Amino acid sequence: MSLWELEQIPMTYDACPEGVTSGYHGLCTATNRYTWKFDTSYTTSFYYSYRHDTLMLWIYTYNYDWWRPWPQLTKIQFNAQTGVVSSKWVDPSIVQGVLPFMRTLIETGSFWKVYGGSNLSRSIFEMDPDTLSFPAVGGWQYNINQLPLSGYQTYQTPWASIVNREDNYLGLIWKGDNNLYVFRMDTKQLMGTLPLKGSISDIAYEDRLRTWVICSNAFIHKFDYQKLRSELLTTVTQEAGDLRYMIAWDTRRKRIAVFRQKADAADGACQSRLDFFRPIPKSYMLTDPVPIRPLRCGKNIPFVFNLIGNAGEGINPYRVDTTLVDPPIDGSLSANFVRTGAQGVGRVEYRSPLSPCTDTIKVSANITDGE
Amino acid sequence: MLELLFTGTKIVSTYNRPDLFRLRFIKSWNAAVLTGYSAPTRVFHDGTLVASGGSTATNSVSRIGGKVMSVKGNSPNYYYYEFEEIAANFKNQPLYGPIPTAPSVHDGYIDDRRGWLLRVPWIVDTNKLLCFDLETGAQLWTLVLGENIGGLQTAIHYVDDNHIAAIRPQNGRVMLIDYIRQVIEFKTYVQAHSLSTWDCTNGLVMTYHNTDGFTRIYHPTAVPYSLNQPTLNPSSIYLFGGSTVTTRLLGEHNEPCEGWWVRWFLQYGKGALQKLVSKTDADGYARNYYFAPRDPTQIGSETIRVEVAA
Repeated sequence: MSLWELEQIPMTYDACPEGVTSGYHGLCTATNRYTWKFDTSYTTSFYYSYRHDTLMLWIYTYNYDWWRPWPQLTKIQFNAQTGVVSSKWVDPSIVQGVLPFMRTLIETGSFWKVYGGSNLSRSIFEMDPDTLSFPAVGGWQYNINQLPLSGYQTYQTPWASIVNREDNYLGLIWKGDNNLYVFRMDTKQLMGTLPLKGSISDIAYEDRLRTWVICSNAFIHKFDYQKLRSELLTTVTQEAGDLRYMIAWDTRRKRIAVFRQKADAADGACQSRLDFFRPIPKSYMLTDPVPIRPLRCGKNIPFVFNLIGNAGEGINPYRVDTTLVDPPIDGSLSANFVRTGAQGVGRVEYRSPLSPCTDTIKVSANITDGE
Repeated sequence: MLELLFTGTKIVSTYNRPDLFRLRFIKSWNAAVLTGYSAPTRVFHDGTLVASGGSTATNSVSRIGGKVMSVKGNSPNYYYYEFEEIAANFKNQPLYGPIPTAPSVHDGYIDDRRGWLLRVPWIVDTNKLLCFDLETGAQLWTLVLGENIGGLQTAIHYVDDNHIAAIRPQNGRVMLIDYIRQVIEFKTYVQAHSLSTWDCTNGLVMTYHNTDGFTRIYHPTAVPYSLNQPTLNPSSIYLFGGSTVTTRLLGEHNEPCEGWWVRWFLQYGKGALQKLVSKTDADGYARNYYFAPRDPTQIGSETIRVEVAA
């Protein structure tokens, strides 16, 4: 896995009461032993709420303890430190909640407020962080029709947005268009686009410069959206049963939380997880050392290798141990260990003896978090 | 033939369609990028292949500084897009274009410090290197390469700020071209292969063979193949006289072999040699000095033998 994993917090559904195997309000069955479960089709929003210091997950759930034929909007708050669910609130309204109309994912933005967009009006709103009503009382809103949009953008609601009101930057991503469009809200200009490695799954606002985007194929981009450049390309490991990945940037702890929604187990048990990551990639493999000068007796022959993450990104600076193995050992190495430089490149010199021989170079890295 | 340093240990796949791909070395990666039919993919020296997702990257061209650009557009107007190396993605906005007169999109080299676009045509004029103005598309100069180097998969690659390498996979032809002075500096071969690139970080040729799926790494020095008979200058030698003696070490395709030690022997011990070993220069020549005998009784014939030191 390429982002540096800290811990994985499994999620659980509430089990049916003891002894009940079927007929629990007509919906608890032998193949579903739980009283509620996540919906998998409606949009979901996941972000870090600075105001609450919690990770907020707005997701539709099926609740089997009373009859509702439709999924209900649910707000689940996780302790941002431990990942434990600190509160779960199900919208009790008979009609569905606000989320069906919230086609643009809710994300934290400027001033650590919460923003989202509606498919009823072509605007991005500041939302009430507790009820998701929009616009928030006295809140900010911006009509994206002012922007130089083209084609389907003029009628399709963006899937995700990042709002930087301090510098007047607005980033928009439309589903099906694997690009982040960066606009200036004051001059109403398209500043540029940043291509993604796959279909957008979720976006997280880091600060006035940076944003994280996770794609449905598990690639993660870190962009400097003001300078329109990439700062990192990495991944989370794809696992069997993954349905979607949602990403949040924990502003206080400077780390990443990924809500990995997975298909339920056969008995209805929750398999979804909350994964915490350091915002740096972890090594995945070392390539074989390759000589870059002719192999000659009595010469120093440099060998190069790369320490990479599983998106191919270079990992540096890490210590890589270099040894000669498989005795008899005839030559020697210039160093017992080297450090990987830019883009994870390591280099060691082999000192060959004066007569022909066969030696084997082994490179190995012991990656720790330094603790 | 260049010296083979390393054969890859891992299989690289191009879905049996290497003609749809290009291999381009990225200096900052210390690895090549495989572009074309699929998303840009990293290929390391040992054949490690890391797919990076993203969209298909059409054709790519080499760029000064060990970079790469992609080419899109319809004949005759082509656009050139920068490659963002951290994200392994081509940018959306073209940096250059439309360039109206480029003859085909199949290969090229962009020197945007000088405003040049170099191409080896793949249908006509395949023995030429053409230079176009990067702004107007006007043809600036032509370098005749002397043989057919063009073809669908021929690629030209950045070597350093003055040099490019043209490598033709069909026959493994490698030409090192100083495109500022417009001269061919070195011609040689590697094994015929499917895709290739010039490793501008380490000064190597990197090839990919679709037949076995392996990468191969060549050092740009020719493997010695023949050592010429020593020649004397002047050729007539007298008592108390002497003569410069020269031999030349060449590769299989008459490429000079530089930096090899040559041992010198006298078969009968008449006279003397100045050195027991000497090193070949950039043209493959090794030189020594033969001192004729001073004793009249030693007049007769002598044989100077040479061999390459291991």
